[in-house]
Amino acid sequence: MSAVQIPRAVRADHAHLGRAVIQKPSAGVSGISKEIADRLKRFAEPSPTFLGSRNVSPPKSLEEQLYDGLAAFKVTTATIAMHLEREWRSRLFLQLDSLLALDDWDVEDPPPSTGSFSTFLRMLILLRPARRPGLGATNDGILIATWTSDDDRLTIDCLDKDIARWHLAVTIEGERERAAGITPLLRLNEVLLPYGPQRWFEHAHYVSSP
Amino acid sequence: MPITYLPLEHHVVRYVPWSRLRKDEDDNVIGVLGAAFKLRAQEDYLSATWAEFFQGTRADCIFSAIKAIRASSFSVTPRSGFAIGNVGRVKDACLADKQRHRIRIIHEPEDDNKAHSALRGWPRDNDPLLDLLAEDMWSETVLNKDVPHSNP
Amino acid sequence: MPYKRPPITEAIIELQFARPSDQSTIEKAARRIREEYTFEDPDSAVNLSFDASTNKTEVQTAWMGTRLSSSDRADILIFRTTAFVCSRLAPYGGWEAFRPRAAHAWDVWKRAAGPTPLARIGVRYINRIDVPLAGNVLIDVDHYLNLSTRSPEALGEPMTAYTMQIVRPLGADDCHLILTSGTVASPLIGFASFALDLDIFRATNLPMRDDELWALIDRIRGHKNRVFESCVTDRARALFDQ
Repeated sequence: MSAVQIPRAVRADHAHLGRAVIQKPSAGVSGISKEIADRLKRFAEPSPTFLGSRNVSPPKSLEEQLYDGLAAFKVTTATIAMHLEREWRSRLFLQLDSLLALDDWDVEDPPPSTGSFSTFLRMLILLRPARRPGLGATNDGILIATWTSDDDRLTIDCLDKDIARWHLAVTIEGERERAAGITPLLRLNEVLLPYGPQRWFEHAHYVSSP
Repeated sequence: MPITYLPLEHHVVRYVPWSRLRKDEDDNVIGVLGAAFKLRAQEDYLSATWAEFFQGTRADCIFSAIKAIRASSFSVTPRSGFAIGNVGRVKDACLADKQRHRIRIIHEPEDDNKAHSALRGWPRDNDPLLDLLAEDMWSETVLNKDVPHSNP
Repeated sequence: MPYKRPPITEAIIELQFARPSDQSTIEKAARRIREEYTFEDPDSAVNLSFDASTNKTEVQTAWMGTRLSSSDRADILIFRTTAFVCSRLAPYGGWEAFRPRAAHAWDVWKRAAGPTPLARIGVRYINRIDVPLAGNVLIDVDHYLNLSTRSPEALGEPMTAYTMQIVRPLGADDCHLILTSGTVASPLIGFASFALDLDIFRATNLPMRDDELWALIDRIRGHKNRVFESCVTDRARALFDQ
């Protein structure tokens, strides 16, 4: 038996997701320790696809930032694309293209961060909604996912490191209820459950806007 | 200089960029996000345009307010929108919140927008309140593409 | 039979050149195929060097080639001074889609560059096996992979990570196999993930003719499939078909 104990990561660092877990050993001075260090480094090397990069300095113009951001989002999506229906993914990409279009982007806003996008993607895999969310962005680089069904609204700000800042407004048995919270993604299903999230996530409850 | 508070029955028009319009999964606009009313880190007040600063019918006032925003230094993008809110209802909602925000909506004309107004005492960290405003008191939305660039 | 959700995160055909190519040839090839891709970006390397005498770190950038990508950034073609790289990220669309694109791109390259002696032909498939935890924190790698990572029972506690690499002749087509496997930080919540990276290459007796080259690449792909199937268990296969 080759048992691996999986550590419970409360908050994932998006920069390390999908990457080899390599522990650097204590420093050594011999030729063997150097060879081992070199081999460990090679394990962490990118594949030929990602050996080079487009930019070697931080992007300067807004256009470059949006371009690089959108490229990074799509490449990041590829890491989990096998878990998404293809049509769903294609349409999500159209939404991202639309959200980050230069012509409509507020010049004072930074693009959504890759950390926020990583949280967004992981949230989608966790919630597995049949309906894609509407997309928005805050003025400080946070991606917003929204679902609306008649008057029932769910808004989730995808913060860095798997944190969801959510607020909702629903009508349950004639009473209007509102709730809000800041929750690790691991608990998001649990906190939404009392409000019947299938009202947003399933197509049967959705009425198309004219 | 005397302070001019906007009358409660009047309206404020706030520019909403495309990224802060509430949309469905097919990019159809269905409203405004609470994030549209969030202060930037460096802002002390929320900016809006006083609709009734202009004359005419309600539609005329709103059209003129939008025209003023377009003429200002704001970069109004093609798919952006404008959210229209009633002054009294916005103030009441802020006061009714458990944090009891006493906001002041003051006419503060600027060189590039004579109808500019500042919402001072605006909550900095109350997303549920902003979401309520977006859903109800400040939810009326007009899309930029639906507003002609000259008088109808 | 193809899997419903193949665990492939990246498929690569890399042809390393025996002699470096020049920028004008790369640009010529890129121009000829540009309209088939949405994006074109430079491909550069960053080198950092520390000068102890001045206590300063110098950043040097080196242009390596041109990268072309599809609109979804999943189809990638890179013309480098040292190599031709054709990649497909997830979702993998099958050899029937990947191979013709690579062959066509190589044809465009050859028309721009002329005869291009090769130093290495490699076909690499990087797989990631995502295992739902379902409340468990202990996952037995043996349930999913036929690769053994052994350590003495006397050590007591289970491992929390592993990395291994095996290099061996394939015993066919003068090819070698680099098999790398290890735990990776899972991009999915509630999952454990293991990489199975299969790189099959040949660095001797390389074909000069394109028909022989692509026949060899087709055979390498067959070898890769055989190696992959021998590395995964039925339990893993069930995950790929969900």
